[in-house]
Amino acid sequence: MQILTAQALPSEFDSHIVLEEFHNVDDRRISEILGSCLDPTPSRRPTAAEVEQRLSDQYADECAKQTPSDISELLEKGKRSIAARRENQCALVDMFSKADVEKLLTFEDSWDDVPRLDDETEVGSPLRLAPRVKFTLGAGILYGLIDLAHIHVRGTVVSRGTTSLEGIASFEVFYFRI
Amino acid sequence: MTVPRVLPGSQDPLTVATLQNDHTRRQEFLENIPRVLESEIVLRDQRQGFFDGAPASLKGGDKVRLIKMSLKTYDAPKLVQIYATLSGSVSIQRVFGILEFRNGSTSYAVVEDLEEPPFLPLSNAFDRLETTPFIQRLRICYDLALTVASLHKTERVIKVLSDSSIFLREDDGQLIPVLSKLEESRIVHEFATLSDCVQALSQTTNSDYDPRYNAPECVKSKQHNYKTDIWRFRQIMV
Repeated sequence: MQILTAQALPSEFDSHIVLEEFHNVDDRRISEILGSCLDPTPSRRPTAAEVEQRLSDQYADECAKQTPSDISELLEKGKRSIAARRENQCALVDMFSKADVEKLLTFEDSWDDVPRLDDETEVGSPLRLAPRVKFTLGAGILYGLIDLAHIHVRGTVVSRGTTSLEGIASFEVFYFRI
Repeated sequence: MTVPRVLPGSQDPLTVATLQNDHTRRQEFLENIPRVLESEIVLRDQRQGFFDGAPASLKGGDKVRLIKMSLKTYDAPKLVQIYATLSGSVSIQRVFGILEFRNGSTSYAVVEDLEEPPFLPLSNAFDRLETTPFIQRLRICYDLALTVASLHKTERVIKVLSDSSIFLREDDGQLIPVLSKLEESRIVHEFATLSDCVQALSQTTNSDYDPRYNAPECVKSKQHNYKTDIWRFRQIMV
C-alpha cells in the first residue's frame, strides 16, 4: 500500500520497475519531495532527517493554502446570508452550523495573530480577519443565523472585555430594546 | 515503562522447553509476571502457542502481545529505555517491558497489540486511505518520516519497513501511523564484533519480510543500512 496515492503495490514488483515508474510520476510536488530517495546511487539519497524536513514544509504549505480559503468561504457565505436577511430573501439564507461558528471563533482574535486552540498561545500571522469575523458573528446573531448555544468564548477573550455567552445574549436583548 | 529484570526469588531457572511441556510451570510463570512488569498479565487465548505472538492483557487494560526476542548482542534494558524515550514523541509500537528468564536464554518483549481494532494494517487500508483527504495522507507520511529520522538518530537501522509493518490508528477522525516489528531493527554501534554487526544487518529471514521494497543494491550486498531504509520508506509513500 502506498499512502499518498492510496494505491496497492503490484504483487510482482522490483527496484527496476520502481525506477521506470518514477519517471512517470505526474505529481510534481511529490517527485520534488521524494524523488531523490530513489537515486540508484545510495550515497546520493537524502537522510531521513532531510526527508522529514521536506514533508514538514510541504504539510505546512498545504495547511497554509487550506486555512485562509476555508475561513474566506465562510465569511463570504455569511456576507450573502446577512444581505439576504436584510432584504427578506429567506430562500437565500444559509444558517451557520456549529462547526462554522467554531471556525469563526478561531479567527475572532486574528488582528495580527492566529490563536492556537491547544494551549491558547498565539503565533504571528499575516491574517487580519478580526473585523470581518466580528461583523459576521454580530450580524449572524442579530439576524438569527447563529444559534447562541454554539458560541463558546475562550477565557482569554472574555478577560480582555469581549462579551461572554451571557453578555452576547444581553447585547441582543439590549439592541432590540433600542 | 518498567525497566526489565530477571525473575526473582528462589525458583529454578525457567526455560521455554519446560514451559512448553509443563502446564504447572506455565501457570507459575504467569503468576510471576506481575513482579517483572509490576502489572498483572493474562493470556487472552489459552490455545495460543507458548509464547511467541500470544495475546495478553495488562492489569490497566492495555492489550499486549508477547514477542520472542534474541538479545544476545545487546542490552535489553537499554533497548527498553530507547523505546521509552522515543515512544513519547514518535509513532512506534509501545513496549511495556521485556521478560527475561534467569538463565538469560529467552526473552519476550511485551508490546502493544496492534492486531485488533482500533488498529488497521496499512496493507488493508486501501478503502480508508482512498476517502482520506490528501493533506491528511501527507500528515501520515510526515509522522512516519519523523519516526524513521528519530530511529536513525539513535543509530537504529529499521530493516523491515513495509506496508505490513505499519498500522493506522483512528483518533478523533485523524489517522495516526504506528511503526511495528522493531524487534527486527538493529543498533549498529552495539555489536561486539564486525561479524556480529554484518550478520545483524543482513537480510532477515522473517516471513513478514517483503522483498518488493528492497533497494537495488540489496540484491548484491544482502545488507541493510540507513539508505536502504530511505528507499523502502519512499516505496511506502508513493
